[in-house]
Amino acid sequence: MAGHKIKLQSSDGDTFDVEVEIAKQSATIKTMLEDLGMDEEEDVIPLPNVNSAILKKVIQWATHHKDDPPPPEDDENREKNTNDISSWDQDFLKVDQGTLFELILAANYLDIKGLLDVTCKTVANMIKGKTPEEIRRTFNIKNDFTPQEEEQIKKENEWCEEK
Amino acid sequence: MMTLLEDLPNELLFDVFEYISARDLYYSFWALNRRINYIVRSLKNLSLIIYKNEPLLIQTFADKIFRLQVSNHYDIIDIDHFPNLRSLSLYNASDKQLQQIRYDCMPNLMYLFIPIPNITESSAKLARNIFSNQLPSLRYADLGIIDVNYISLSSWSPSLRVLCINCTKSIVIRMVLLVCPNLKRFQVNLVKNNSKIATQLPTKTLNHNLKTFILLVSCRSLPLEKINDILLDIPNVTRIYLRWCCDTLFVALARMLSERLKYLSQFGCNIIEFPNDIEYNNIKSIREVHSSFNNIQCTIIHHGYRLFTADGFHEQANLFG
Repeated sequence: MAGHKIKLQSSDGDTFDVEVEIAKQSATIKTMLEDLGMDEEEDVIPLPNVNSAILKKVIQWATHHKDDPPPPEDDENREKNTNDISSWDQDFLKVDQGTLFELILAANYLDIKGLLDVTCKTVANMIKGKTPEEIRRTFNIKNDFTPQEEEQIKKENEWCEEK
Repeated sequence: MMTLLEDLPNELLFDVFEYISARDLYYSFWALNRRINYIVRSLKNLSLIIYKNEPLLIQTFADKIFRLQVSNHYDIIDIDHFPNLRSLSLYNASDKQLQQIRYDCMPNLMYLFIPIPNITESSAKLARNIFSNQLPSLRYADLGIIDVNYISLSSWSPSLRVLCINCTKSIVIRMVLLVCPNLKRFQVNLVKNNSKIATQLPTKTLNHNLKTFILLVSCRSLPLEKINDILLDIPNVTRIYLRWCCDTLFVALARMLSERLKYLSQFGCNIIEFPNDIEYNNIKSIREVHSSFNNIQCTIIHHGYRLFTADGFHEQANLFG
């Protein structure tokens, strides 16, 4: 039904009126609507794993992409490309790292393949070409190797490079 | 507290890392911490482009590499280190590398891009192996030059679905169709047509189930009758692209295509016709022969030569697309 709306409730209690067809880009919500018969305007779908700020972004993304064809199924034989992010998505994803990773978590929880793909590609593009030290600084990755393990890795590297 | 990369569960880090090549993973992520190393070690289906010899990178990921491209001529790269290859692209392959393309080294190989410019003992042996089902997982192959002697009519290669070759004898086309019964897309670049061969082929037409045929004739000696012979073997083609110099009226070819290919739905061409008879053979009469000829354009009329083009589909479309 065109324009028919449902309510989505974020983890911090805010509710958002969203057109059903836009909300159904989330396979999780689509399943809820179909399996639980929650298609009345007064029904509220709780989304306890998504906060209000992220849910707002997800709805913005889903609204922009509401007329997109369904994303292709993953084909392990095809090379995964990160150069095909649309300019709208690039602008949409110019956010701080915390927001980007929360969008990935939300896309995964809500099962929105298109959003998950584009956010993962964006992170992949942030990684490419960086040295380990830049990666460590950029993503705040803690080193938990013992000095002995580090020494072992260094020796393995030297052995291989000499081969 | 801000969500960090490491707050993502392993399954999502796998999703992110799948977009990153083995080289970037190795030089950016290796030895950062235990969890990241575990995830990187657990990845499968990595892609790697080799520009130089990098033994540590290769040793770390060799059994996880799924798509390998060797961009330059490096004899030192042993491609038999990659047992899980599905896709292999070799530019300027060495004899040693050609010898390593064997079922026991890469049993899952599906895609092979190896534009062999010259006939050597190793390239001949590899081609013979391919056309005798010695690489039974191979579905898509771009092989460069293929000679009549590479194909034994007693052999059989049922796995091949998509094939691109260069050849110097039009008879190779029929030989390939005979030994590759399940081919769906076949692209041939006929660089010259030397018909002096001793090979005896069956006279019966094949009724091959090929769907897409691309013939790029780079010589001027392929007569219309030869094209007719080819078409007789592939009556089920739905898409055809021809690049050819036509020493007869193009309309004769158009009528032949329409008659031979009952299922034709897409036609593309780049055809130079040189007996020019505009009065009796205008573009309208060609378009009327078949509905898929509607987009044919006559783009150049010059000194008795006419160039017919049609973008029914792109001749250089991705072979594996």
